Amino acid sequence: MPISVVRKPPRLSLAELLLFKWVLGGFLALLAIWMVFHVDPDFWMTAGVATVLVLAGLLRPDLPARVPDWVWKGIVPVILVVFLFRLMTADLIPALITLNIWLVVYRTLCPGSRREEMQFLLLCLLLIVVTGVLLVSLLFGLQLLIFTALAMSYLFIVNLAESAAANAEKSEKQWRHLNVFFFFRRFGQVLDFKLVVLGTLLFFTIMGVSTLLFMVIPRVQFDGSISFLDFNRGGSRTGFSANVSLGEVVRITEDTSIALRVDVSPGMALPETPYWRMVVLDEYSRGGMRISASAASTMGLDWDALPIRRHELPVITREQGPTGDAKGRWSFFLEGNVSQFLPYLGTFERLVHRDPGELTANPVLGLYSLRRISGSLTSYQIEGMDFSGRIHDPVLAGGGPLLAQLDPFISMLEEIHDENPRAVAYPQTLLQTFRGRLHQAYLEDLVAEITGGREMTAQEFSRAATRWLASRHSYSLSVTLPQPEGPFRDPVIRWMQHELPGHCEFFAVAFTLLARTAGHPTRVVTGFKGGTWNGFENYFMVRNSDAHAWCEIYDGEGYWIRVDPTPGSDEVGGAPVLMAGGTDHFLADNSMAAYLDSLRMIWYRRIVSFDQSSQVQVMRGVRDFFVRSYQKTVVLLERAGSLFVEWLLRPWDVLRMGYWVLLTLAGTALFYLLQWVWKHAEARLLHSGRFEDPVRNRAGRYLLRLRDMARTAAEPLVIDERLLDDLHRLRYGAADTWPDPAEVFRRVRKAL
Amino acid sequence: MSDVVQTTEVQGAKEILGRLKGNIRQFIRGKDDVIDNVLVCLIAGGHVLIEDLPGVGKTTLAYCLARSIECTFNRIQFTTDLLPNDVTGVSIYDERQREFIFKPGPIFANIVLADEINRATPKTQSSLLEVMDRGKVSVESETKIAGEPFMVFATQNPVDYEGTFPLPESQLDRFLMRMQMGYPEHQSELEILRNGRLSYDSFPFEAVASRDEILAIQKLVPRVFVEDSVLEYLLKIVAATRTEAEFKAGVSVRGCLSLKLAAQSRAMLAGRDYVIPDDLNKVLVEVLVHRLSLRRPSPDTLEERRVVTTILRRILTSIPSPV
Repeated sequence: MPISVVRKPPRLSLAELLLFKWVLGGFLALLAIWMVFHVDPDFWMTAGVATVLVLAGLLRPDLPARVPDWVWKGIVPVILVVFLFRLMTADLIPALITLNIWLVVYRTLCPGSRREEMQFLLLCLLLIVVTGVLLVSLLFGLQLLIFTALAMSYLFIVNLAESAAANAEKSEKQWRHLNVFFFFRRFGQVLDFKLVVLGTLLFFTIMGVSTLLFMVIPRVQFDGSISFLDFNRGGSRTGFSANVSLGEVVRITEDTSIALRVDVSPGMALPETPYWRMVVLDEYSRGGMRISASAASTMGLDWDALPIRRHELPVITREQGPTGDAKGRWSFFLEGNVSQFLPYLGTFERLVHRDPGELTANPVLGLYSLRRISGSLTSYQIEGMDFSGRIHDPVLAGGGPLLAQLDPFISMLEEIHDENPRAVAYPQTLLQTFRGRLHQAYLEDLVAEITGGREMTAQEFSRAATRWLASRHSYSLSVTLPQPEGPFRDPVIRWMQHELPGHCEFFAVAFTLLARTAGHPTRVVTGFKGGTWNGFENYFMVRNSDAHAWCEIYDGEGYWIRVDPTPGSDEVGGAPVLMAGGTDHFLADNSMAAYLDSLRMIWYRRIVSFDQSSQVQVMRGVRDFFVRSYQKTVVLLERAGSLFVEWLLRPWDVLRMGYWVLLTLAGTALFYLLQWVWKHAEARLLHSGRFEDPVRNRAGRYLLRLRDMARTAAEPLVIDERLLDDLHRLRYGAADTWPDPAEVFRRVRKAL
Repeated sequence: MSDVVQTTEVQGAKEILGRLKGNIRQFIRGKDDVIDNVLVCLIAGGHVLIEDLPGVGKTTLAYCLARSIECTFNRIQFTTDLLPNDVTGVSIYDERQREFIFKPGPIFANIVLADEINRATPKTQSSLLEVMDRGKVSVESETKIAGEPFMVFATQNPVDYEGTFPLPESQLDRFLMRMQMGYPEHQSELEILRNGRLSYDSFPFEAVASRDEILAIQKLVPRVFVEDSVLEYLLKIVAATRTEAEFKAGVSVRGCLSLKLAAQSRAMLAGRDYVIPDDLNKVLVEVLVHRLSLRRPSPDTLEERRVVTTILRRILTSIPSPV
């Protein structure tokens, strides 16, 4: 059979291919296990051991081969037993992740037939997806990208190795003894530029197609129906829980990681120092603040049954309001394990969450919280938010003397809590200080000192008390209280007595106690103060180190006024400073860290919160773009047409005609010159080994395939001599002696 | 395109060459490759240098070829005292006619066997040069055609070369191919023994092709189509010999042209009117091996030839053939 022999550049031998497969498999396993480290410290041990095992196998492929066969056979039942054990002691998800890790390690170190290669890939993918869904982090995207590239190469190598193994006389065993580092050098030698370019192109094509699919496939809300998405880790930080002891908020500030990212509509007015309120604590008890049981129980109330005007309550919904709202839209991205309470700035109209059933509202305290703390990112949007520092209280609102207004509620709330009738119920908790006379008397003395015996409004008192506190106490993060001596046991009272420096919590609690003694309902709020403006993607980065505690005092007219008694925050009462020009006034953070964080934000904006409405928005944008382009083109064409007619109708003299004839000739010459240049450049560029002639190209491809078939066929291949002759003639013969190419190719296809 | 050979013409040529081959095969057993190469040389109008031990059938091959075609055959045994005139012929004064009459030498034949060519002095060897190049002899300002077709079969003994004059490279370049006969295979030798003829004069030969037919085929060969990619492939191989560190010098342009011609002949032999890379691969070693010499020459001719062949095969593996 006169088929010419193709000489190929150096190739990897079968042994090297198998080693390559081994190395790729190791990388895939490491990639899959990598993210497990981020899920939970519980997995560190398992994932660490797994990583070490995979690394050892990766560098010394001969080691797993030394393990006797019966060990490999016995491992699977052991893994299953471990799984069942974990299933009984822990939740399903941790048990599943552990099982998955061990199966991946098993498949990495003991690879078998082809079906098992696929199984291995699926196991890795499963592990990546499970950890990715739990973490919803930017790294998940990166991990998936790397996985795609690795998995594609892996499948490719598996195929190559299979066909090479089919040709080899005997099965290869010695690859396990090849040196991995030498292999990398060898790999560099055989690396074909064309193959790399093609592979990269293929990769990006797949990426493009996936992106397109991501944009167009319909969005399904299945979060609620997949139970493992509820897999939660850890708990709320105690400083942001319903029960805060002194010093717990300050402890949070030691962590500089980002807790909250807030995206704002462009051009929106923003507060100079935003106070992100999360937890409102109304009950004081010996050095700590907490949400009173009665106030907490109102979380589950049927608010429709209460005499509150419905429109005063914000709406919690999954539908976005009409766009272009004057007050703008705030998108919050709260990291996992920060708090179950959602931060916000002040009274708002609408809270958008993908699953409103997950949220509970407590309008009594102005709290919005998740039913369970989320281990992963929580995103929600708030529309029409007022950040003036005055928070409307629909319960206490109505004007007039406070207690009279509250009467029906007191009785109602007491009813709810009749199982513990001795406890003070909301809203009396807002005025509660100490039961003991001694402490009470001490506080009253202080209040008298502050007010000078005058009757003061809430604002006036706030300013006076803040000034008074600042004159006696300086700010310090560390507080050393002296040993309790005498009758005063309360830490805050002792702090005030000794005029010690203190942190925000002491100031807030002390102010609260003073204000309550003066007769103003007051509560402590914890959350974040301030934040950094990310100049790359324009959003607030709020770190855990921004944690803060402050107060809200009731003005007797239905509003809570923010008071920050901590020195250095001179803002008392309403009157916020607005940045009318939008975000320009912020000192933007343009550091590298901020840049990396902005990538995360892009991930949240474009991927995590890409829901149906965003989809519609994108589609609408695309449509609008085309419509606009079309309209612009039409206008341009019309203008060009009229200009041409006008130009044509101008009087023609010899000079003008000559000018245009010359111009036309020059243009034509230029066209042909460019064509000539292109043709030659093209020949240079494309002629490296291949031909422009598609028939010759195609015939060559068929010849190659025939030869490959002849090489791999078990028995001698019988190919029609005439067909082969025709193919050869199409490939190498003179063009005018060609048979009909289409007919020949048809015959070849049939033969193949 | 008129300059491309027609399929029918090629088929005719193939048939004639097939007859020739069949005829020679009756007497040269088990050496199809060698016969093919000799036929390639014949239709390419080239000369052959056969380098092998005595008694393996070199002369027989030349004789069989000459007898299968209706043409003349001469044999020149080269020795150190052979003079150029002994090859080309000499003018002798004829008393009766009172003028010099040219007595043509043994070179005036269609197929000439130059046995043990390296035994002759360089002067005699070079007298072959012009004849081999143009097929013509210049005697006393007169140019005479040696024969049409004209083909030189030169032989060399690679083992016993004491008192020999190795052929200069310029002369080696004029041979289209240099090949080995090699010992016949067991089965073939058995048959040779059975038939038991020692002298080739006793062969019952009849010509199966005319001289004109061979001349016609010779005119067809350069018109066999060579596609551009195949030419590029050829050039790449030649370029590789020129950059190869082991070689003193690469293949000359003449060598390049010879390679193309040999490939075309090979295609013609296979009955094709176009060249495929395989044609090139098949003739490559025979056409190029004597045109290349090693930078570190080996004292043993056979060894040197073996090394050159290995390098050529390596070059062939390193260049992808055009498909």
